[in-house]
Amino acid sequence: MEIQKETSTAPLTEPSKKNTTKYSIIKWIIPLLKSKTGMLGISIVAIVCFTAVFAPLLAPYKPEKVDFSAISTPPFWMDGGSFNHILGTDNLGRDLLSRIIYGAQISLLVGISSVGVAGVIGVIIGLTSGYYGGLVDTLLMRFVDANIAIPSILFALVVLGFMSPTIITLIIVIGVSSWIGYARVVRSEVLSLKEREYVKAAKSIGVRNGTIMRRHLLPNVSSSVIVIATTSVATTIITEASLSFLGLGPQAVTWGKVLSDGRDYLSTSWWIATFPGIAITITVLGIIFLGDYLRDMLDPRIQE
Amino acid sequence: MDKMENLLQVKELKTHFMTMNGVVPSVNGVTFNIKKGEKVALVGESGSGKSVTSLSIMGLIEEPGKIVNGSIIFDERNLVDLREKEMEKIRGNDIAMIFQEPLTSLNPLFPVGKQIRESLLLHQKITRKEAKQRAIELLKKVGIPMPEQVYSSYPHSLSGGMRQRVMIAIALSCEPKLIIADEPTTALDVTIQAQILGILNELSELENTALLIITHDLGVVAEIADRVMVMYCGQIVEEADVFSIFDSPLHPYTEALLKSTPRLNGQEKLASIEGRVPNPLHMPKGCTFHTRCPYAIEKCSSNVPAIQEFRPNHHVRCWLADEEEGGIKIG
Amino acid sequence: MKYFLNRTAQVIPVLLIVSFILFFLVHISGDPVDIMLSENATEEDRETLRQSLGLDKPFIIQYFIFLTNMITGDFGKSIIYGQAALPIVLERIPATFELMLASIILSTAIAIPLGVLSAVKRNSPIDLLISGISILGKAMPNFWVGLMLILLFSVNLKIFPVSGTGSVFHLVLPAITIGSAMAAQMTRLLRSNMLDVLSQDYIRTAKSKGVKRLSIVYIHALRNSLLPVITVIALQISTLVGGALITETIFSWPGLGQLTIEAINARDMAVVQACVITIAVFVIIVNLIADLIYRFVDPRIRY
Ligand SMILES: Nc1ncnc2c1ncn2[C@@H]1O[C@H](COP(=O)(O)OP(=O)(O)OP(=O)(O)O)[C@@H](O)[C@H]1O
Ligand SMILES: [Mg+2]
Repeated sequence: MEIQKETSTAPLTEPSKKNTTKYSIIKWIIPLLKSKTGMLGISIVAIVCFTAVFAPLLAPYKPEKVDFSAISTPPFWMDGGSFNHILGTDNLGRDLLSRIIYGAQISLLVGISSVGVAGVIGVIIGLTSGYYGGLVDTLLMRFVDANIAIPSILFALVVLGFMSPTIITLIIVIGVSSWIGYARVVRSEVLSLKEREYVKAAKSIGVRNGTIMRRHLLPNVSSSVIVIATTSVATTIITEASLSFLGLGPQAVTWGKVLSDGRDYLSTSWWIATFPGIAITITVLGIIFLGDYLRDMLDPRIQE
Repeated sequence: MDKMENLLQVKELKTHFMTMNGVVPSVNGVTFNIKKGEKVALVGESGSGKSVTSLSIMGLIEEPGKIVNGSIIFDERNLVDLREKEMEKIRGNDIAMIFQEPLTSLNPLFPVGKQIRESLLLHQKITRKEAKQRAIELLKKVGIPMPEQVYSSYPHSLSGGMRQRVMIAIALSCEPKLIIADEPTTALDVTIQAQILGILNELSELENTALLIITHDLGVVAEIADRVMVMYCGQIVEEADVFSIFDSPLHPYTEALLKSTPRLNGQEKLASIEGRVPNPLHMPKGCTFHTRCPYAIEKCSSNVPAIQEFRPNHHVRCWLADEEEGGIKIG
Repeated sequence: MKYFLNRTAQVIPVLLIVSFILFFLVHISGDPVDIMLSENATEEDRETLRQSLGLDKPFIIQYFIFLTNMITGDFGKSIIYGQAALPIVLERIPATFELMLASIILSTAIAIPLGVLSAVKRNSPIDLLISGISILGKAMPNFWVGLMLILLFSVNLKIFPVSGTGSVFHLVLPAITIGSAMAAQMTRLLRSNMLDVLSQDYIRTAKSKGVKRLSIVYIHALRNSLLPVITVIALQISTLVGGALITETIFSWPGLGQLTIEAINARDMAVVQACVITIAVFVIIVNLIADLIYRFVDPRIRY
């Protein structure tokens, strides 16, 4: 009875992953230049990474160098401050700027590695539970519920409270406490992907399950995983800082540690607690911007 | 008919959307009149600008859209110039609208009765109790069984047809002078379509309400309308009474539309019109239809035809209908 | 009601998993005997203690004992306080509850007007400002915000007390600390939901009825936009409680969080276990309530 409307039938073929070489680089850079927050995010992240890598060259002092002649020097613009210690010193006369520069190392290392740990665990579990269903799946969903019930920081606190916190344990603990997000998303994507024609076709011609997961499912969930991973770095950096702040971090200079050093000197040396917090905030902000940008580019469907 | 007074006069209306990719001239110089109590159909393919025309009349065009030209005279007032406050008093009270999607056009979190009552309370000086009474009467009027019960039920528990009846009840609630129905039956299945059209037809006649019914379904047109306007690419290309349109269409586009519609309510395969609707960002020069027109001549691709009265009360925008060209017979 | 019972029944496997994880953690975290006895205790002493604690039994049996004890509310004796752990923990609940409630009220009061405003004035300078502030709110670590508030309001301006309880003034800073993060999250969420809802067909219907702009936003759109916010906040509640752990410590707020940290630092296992279970139950209950509210507000999923 009516004039036919245009109907597009969904293509049965796999969305092409082939032409992701030359042209896509241009396709990526132009929107990046257009997106102000994307640019800002990428610049901040680049600067922080640069600082972390070249900390020994950039920092004016060794982070642990105690100087009793310069205890609690204020930042340079205040009375009693000097350019020797731009951001001032802490209660032991250690240079705050150097400590923050070195702190970037641990923060990034822990942040990125624990996201890696969480990502690997989460993707493997999400893939298997989405693809095979059954017991793994039921168990996963119960774990998701349980995960909602225990704050992940509490989990980390309890574990670290009973172990000696080293950087490695920290990475593993934070990783283990935060894999569920990946598993959930990957699982739900796999559930819909495995109904697609090309997956069914591959199955029907006898392609092995492992191959299907690797060749057809994994590439298709990768963009969601990248987006989650990026934003998770922000969360893990804050988690690491919180743990260090509570004295359960590694025996190293971290932003959370420096910050907690300043906690008892708030009334006399405000700068000790203030600057590391600013460093964390700016870094996290950069990561959030970068993550938002990646989400817009890669997968507009994922909401936070 | 001619002596009846005009209720709505749309003149040279242009509504454009300023998108990132350029200006989309969705409505590009539309002129028409609707008289009191008259039932007019606006037909055309998807994207021809029917909804934008109706939303322009309602003053509901939103960013990035803008009425850039023309006037909409309703009851001697130019709606284009009215302030939002005054427009709010007209909407739902003097002009009411029914939308295509009954499934999503009602707020899922409010009982339907409350949604009918709302416009009564807004526009009329009555108490809540009276409003409730009126709303139940309205529900009865649009043929809803057990209106008291439906009054307090939520939209999700009603079928599509029922919801569209509720929409009609809302539209009728303040006895408007004009109801704009934007594809009121497209989303419904055939038997329900007929019922809804019947109700709409009957009630608008009863209350002497003018009806602008938008559709791309010529079956609907035949059933309801006194007069038909055919729209293509933001312009009206032909306008005549319903018999002339069906019996002797003048514009090749109208002809194609008719051909694509099976005459009987049978399930014959639809013939669709050759070619595609032009990209609104790159409208063809000359007559907008020439790219798809089987009769196109040279002139069509260079010069824009004006709309002219070819026969009494039968207007068309086509070079081929030009008398100098010998009034080429179409259809 | 049937739904409610059903939903409550689902809580049991969750608690089982939580208890198992907890038991597992305690189990791998080292020999509790080491903590309970001094270094120079004899091997014999250790063995008797081990036996009396049931530590010589197989893993599963130990878990079973742990579980039955837990169900009867017996978490063992606190090392710090020298009395049963559970009452100590339960005593702290009102303080934490008070703080959470204040934070939720505060953040809702901030987030609703801001979220609505920024959605309605989309892409205007106001929207940019609000979005900027809420992203900043998300980026700042909770504990740092707390310290900065102390620095500003207690140390410099001397308006609010640094820490402790006793008056409404004590509540203000910790509530802002927790509430600000929540408000930031809610504002962002509300904005995007609101934008989504405002483009819905039923909003167009309301407009075509002549409903005024303000009523459209606050009557027709707000309720629909808040629905998903309830769910997300409920899911976020555990993150919030996580934030409360640290915030309570900073402000010496005598709640569950402070106790948990204190117990972890003192390796007071009984209290730690009781705290974790209590927090889990608390979070589960909040989620249950949120679920019920959702069902109450949204007629589409009423049974
Ligand atoms: N918000 C908008 N932004 C940009 N372009 C728009 C917008 N709304 C409508 N348009 C454009 O206006 C043109 C006409 O749209 P309109 O909705 O009026 O078509 P229609 O005739 O009602 O079609 P349908 O039968 O599908 O309802 C379309 O080309 C569309 O792309
Ligand atoms: Mg339309």
